[in-house]
Amino acid sequence: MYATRTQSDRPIVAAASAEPVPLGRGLSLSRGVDGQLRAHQGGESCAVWVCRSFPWSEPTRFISLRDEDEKEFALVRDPSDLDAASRCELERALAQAGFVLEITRVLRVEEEVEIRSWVVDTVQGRRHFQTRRDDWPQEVPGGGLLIRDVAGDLFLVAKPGNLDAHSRKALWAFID
Amino acid sequence: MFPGPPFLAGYLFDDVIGPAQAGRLPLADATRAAWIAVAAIGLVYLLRQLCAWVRLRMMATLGEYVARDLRTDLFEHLQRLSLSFYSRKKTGSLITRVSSDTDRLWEFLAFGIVDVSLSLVMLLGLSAVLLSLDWKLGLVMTLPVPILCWAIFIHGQSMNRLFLRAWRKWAGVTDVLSDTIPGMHVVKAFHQEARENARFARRNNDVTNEFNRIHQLWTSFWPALMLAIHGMTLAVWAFAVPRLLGPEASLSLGTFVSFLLYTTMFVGPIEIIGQIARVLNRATTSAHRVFEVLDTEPEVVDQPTPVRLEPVRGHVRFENVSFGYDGLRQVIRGVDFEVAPGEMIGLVGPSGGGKTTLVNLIARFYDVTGGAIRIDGVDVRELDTGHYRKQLGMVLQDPYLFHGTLLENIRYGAPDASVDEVVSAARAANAHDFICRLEHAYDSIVGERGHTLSGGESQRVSIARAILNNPRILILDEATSAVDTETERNIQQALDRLIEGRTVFAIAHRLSTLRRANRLFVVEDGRIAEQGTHEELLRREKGTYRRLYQMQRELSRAV
Repeated sequence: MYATRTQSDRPIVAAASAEPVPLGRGLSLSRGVDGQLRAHQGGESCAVWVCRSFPWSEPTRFISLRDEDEKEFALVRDPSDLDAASRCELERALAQAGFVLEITRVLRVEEEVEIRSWVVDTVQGRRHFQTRRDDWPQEVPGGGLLIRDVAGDLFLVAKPGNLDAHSRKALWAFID
Repeated sequence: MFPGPPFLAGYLFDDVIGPAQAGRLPLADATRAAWIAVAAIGLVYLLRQLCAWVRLRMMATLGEYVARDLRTDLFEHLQRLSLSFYSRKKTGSLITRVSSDTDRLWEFLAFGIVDVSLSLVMLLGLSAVLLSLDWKLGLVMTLPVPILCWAIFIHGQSMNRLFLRAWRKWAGVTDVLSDTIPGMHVVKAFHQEARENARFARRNNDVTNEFNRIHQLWTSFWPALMLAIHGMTLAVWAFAVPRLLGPEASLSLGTFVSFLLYTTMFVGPIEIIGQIARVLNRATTSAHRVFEVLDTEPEVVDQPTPVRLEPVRGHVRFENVSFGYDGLRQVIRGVDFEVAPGEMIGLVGPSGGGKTTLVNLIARFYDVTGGAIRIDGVDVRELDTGHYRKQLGMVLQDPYLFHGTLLENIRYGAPDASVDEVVSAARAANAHDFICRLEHAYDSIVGERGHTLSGGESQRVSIARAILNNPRILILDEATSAVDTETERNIQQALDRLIEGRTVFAIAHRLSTLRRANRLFVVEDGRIAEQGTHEELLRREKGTYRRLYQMQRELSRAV
């Protein structure tokens, strides 16, 4: 139980914000003759690299376009804000920037003293890697499992439930 | 049922094997009877293990649920306790209370209690069976039992005393751990690893010596107890042999075999009861540690029908406020001031003057011992503390990031905030750029075992968190003191956006960071020694603010 005192003489202060987030609107993307992605907005043009601001929780939205000084040129909130050609270029750039090996089958997981050894099939072929024993695979938004090996490379099990029975058995201890 | 096998064994000897060997029972009948008895023994064993399975499963599961509920109650109670409790208790000690102490209690609840109870019942039941089987031999076995129980009790008392010492020494070991591990930076900076190793080794040796005393006691007691029980068995033989071999043969072989088998069943319960001292001690210590927390009442509590301000406007009034942490020394003495909504107050003054205490009182982390603090005219003690604090924002000198993604950390006070709002808050805090440069950007894990951010980066994440929370009253406690000038500029820009339109209390030693303050309060010896604008305070010839300002200017010139 609580008593409410309504104080209506001043509205709630809106969250402070900087300049508005530059959206995808008015922005277009193209390829330079060197194959480099270029962004054009408000009369400015710049060679940019794509960076997912939320690679696991919002992988298709909030794509930061960064210049060679790693400063943000624009933030594409939603690729659907772009025209078709720009959207195509953006998707191509994102595919090229992919850095995660996607696991399709888990063949073996063995525990040694302080190391866990994995043998897996990925989209890119068979891989052997090792993780530290107390480095547990990390659940990512969407239900995937992200594994970082001792070298810092990333392996993703996008949908553990879709793996074959042998793989699911091998991963049993790591998924809920 | 469970004492069945020895009885059946006795039956086999006296009523089947003996008569069959003497020719009084036809072989076929004897064989049939024997196999039936053996099958019955097998059935009893099977049922015994089935019951053990059910018992173990039920008690283990029940114990687990009890431990789970205990952990939940303990953790929820910790959330309700005031900050003063946390300043008195070590973090490591609280963590072990929630984790290992509850685990130890589970073990005791699941197995200890049941085992002891069953043992007592077994002991009584077996005593009755032995006495009914042969009262003379039964007395030989049962008469010494009270003496054994008394010896176990005395042994338990001695163990209690030794355990008390041992746990005290153990606390010394965990003290060193909880001291040095968080402070490893300092240990390494001063190259004191060898010294800390020596300190730990001393405490470790002390605790080993104490536990060795315990082991000395119970490892001496235990064989002595077993010897006593075996002595009882020998006494049974001594009384039984004449009766078995004597002319009257007043004791049948089967009865004696049953008796011996029952005697072996006697040992188990005594063994379990004998070990209870150790098990009980560990569980009692853990229970004490757990319930010490549960029995602690929070010092800051809400009234039965607290007031909710919708929303907080940010008018703050201190009316002759006094406060002391320990009830003896007054840290704040007769402080009186009024702050209008949207005003920014800079709190300056020598270290230990009471600046941080003032803001802690505004946040109601502690209750005043004299006077009152009013928020929008309502005594802060009458407010719904949780609802009030949701409209408060704090940016501290040492920003704390939980183990989780940056997205989760920024959203901590506003879990329903959209990603758009998070990005806007991060931009306002000048954090968006460096976050996007991280490998996983907003999905990067930070906190313990996560990515390590610099002090300035952590501070900007902390500011983004505060911005997203949209507080009406903002407390900044030395928010830029631990960073370089360039980072300070970034943070200051972010803070400038954050403070717009809010009531702000900002503590800073670098007076330049208070340039936007409407007024400055000089806090010295628990009082507001001076208050006014920057220009007004500079005009005071012998004022503390003027002196501090001049000292800082001289310092910067010297650099």
